[in-house]
Amino acid sequence: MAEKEYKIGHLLRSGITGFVAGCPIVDQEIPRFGELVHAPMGGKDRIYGIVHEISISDDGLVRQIINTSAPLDPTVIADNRTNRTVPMEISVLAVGYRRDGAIHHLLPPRAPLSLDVLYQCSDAELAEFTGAGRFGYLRHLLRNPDLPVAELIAAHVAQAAAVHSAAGNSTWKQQVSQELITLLRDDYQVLMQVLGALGDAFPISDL
Amino acid sequence: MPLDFLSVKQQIQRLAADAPAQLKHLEILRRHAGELLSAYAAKGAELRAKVEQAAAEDSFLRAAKPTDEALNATFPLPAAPAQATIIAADGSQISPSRHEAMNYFLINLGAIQLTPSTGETPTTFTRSELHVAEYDARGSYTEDMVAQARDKGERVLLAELARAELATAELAAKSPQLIFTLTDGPLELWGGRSRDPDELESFAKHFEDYLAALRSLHAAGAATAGYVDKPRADLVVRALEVAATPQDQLADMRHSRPLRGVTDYDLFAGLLAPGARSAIFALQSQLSPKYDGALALHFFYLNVGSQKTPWLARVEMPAWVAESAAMLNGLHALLIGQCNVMGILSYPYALHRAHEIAIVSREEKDQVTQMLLAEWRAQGLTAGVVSHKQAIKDLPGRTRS
Repeated sequence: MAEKEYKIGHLLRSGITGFVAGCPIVDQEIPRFGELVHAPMGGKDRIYGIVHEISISDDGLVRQIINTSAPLDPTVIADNRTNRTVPMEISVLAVGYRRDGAIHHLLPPRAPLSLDVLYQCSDAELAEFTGAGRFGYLRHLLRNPDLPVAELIAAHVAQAAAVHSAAGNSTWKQQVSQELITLLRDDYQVLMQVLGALGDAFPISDL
Repeated sequence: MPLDFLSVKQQIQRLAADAPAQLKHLEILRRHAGELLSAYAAKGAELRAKVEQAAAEDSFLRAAKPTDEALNATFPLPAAPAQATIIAADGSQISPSRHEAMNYFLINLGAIQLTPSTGETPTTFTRSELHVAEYDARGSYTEDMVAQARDKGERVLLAELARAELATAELAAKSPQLIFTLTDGPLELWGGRSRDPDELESFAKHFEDYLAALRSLHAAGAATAGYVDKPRADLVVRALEVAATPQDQLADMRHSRPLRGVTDYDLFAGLLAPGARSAIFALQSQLSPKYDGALALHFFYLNVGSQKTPWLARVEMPAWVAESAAMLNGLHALLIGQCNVMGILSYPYALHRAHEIAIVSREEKDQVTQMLLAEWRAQGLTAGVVSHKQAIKDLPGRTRS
């Protein structure tokens, strides 16, 4: 498993509903699609978000380098991934915040600032955030038609369920599945997509 | 109004109509130059002596001097060294302008150090040097002076990085691998032709530092070279003109240009197979005698293109590189390898990256100007103002009527 509380990158732009961070292109498996991350909100307060898009910009030099029949020199690959200012962009959907120690599944009162550092949440923090309240943060995921909702929920649930299960809470997965069914009871098409994606992530008997 | 496109179009049509006749004439000259190259191919020593004689008559003569290699010899791509370090440097500048609020210039040097094919992440370096001309004893700088300071800075930076790499290898008790240092453009520092005593004095200082950097690279056992993409020079052609000139007319070589219009590119493009280099030539120029001994300037042409589309570069190097088989073949092979990284736009990857690192953007220039002005004001100093001419040019909105 990837190292936790890892510094992912610095914010490039932000808003109340989400933000985008830039980071060097590295070979590690972080950040991951569906990962819970946090950005500072002053003092010990934090804004939480879920990674919904990871994109790497191309540029003229990269296009030129790949347009050759010779095998790519690994030194050139390392240079482009590490040294050149072509960052990986991590898009994050805001899903809640922590103020004075309490977790809220509401949109944050303010946006994080540019160049703020974006961190990956620890296992304990992921369990705390997803175990707080009654899954209110899910509505931020479900209301956005531009997101690959089913895939995003499946990725997130798989990561959170593993943490809860390791902490001895084996019912979290069933609870979140029930909540999703309730929230999507009037949207059969999306419900089927979400259940289908969850079915790909877990044996159906586990849900 | 924009350009007078009607007039421009008429001029284009006239020029295009004249072009075939000129090309036909140029083709005759190119063929003649090729014949001279073959005729003198094995007479290198004779031609060298004649070029030296012509240079003694006219020190401004710029021409190639043959070495021991036949003039039309070609050398195929050799094997690349098992491991080698490439250090490439480039520079850019914010040029001084009396129209700006502050008359300053900045030289930004960028360098990259890499070991091809290892997968190790290259190391990059930046060095920015700011000079505020009006608070300097000299009072003002010309663009040529800044360009000389930049070119010297590139070679000095390469010498420092090469020595640092050697020291690192010694500390790690590793046998140092060959180091190849590269810059874009000729190896010869351009300048020294001004009539302004201030400019001449400035050039002399930079030139001394430049030669010291070359000596330092030589002492470190590092190779160094200048890479000229798409060269337009006629150095070998000029030598052939010398060859075709009667002995008693050498004193008037300056006015004798029977092959005017033919370039070295024309001579070698059809001769060099992909990856091959030409013979090595020594460079005869006004300043070349000052590059003496191991520093003596040499060059060869290199076909970095393909069978279908030849593309030549001129590679300039000092004598200590030209006379070492390991350095010469290593340089030849590494340059082809670096060019191959870039596909059909063959140009050494390391040099392109050094350029990327060194380049100063317009936004960065504005930022430096603002930083300077803010600091001057904070210190209670009188900062200048933009000239009226520049201020009007900077006005937003339409610039043509």
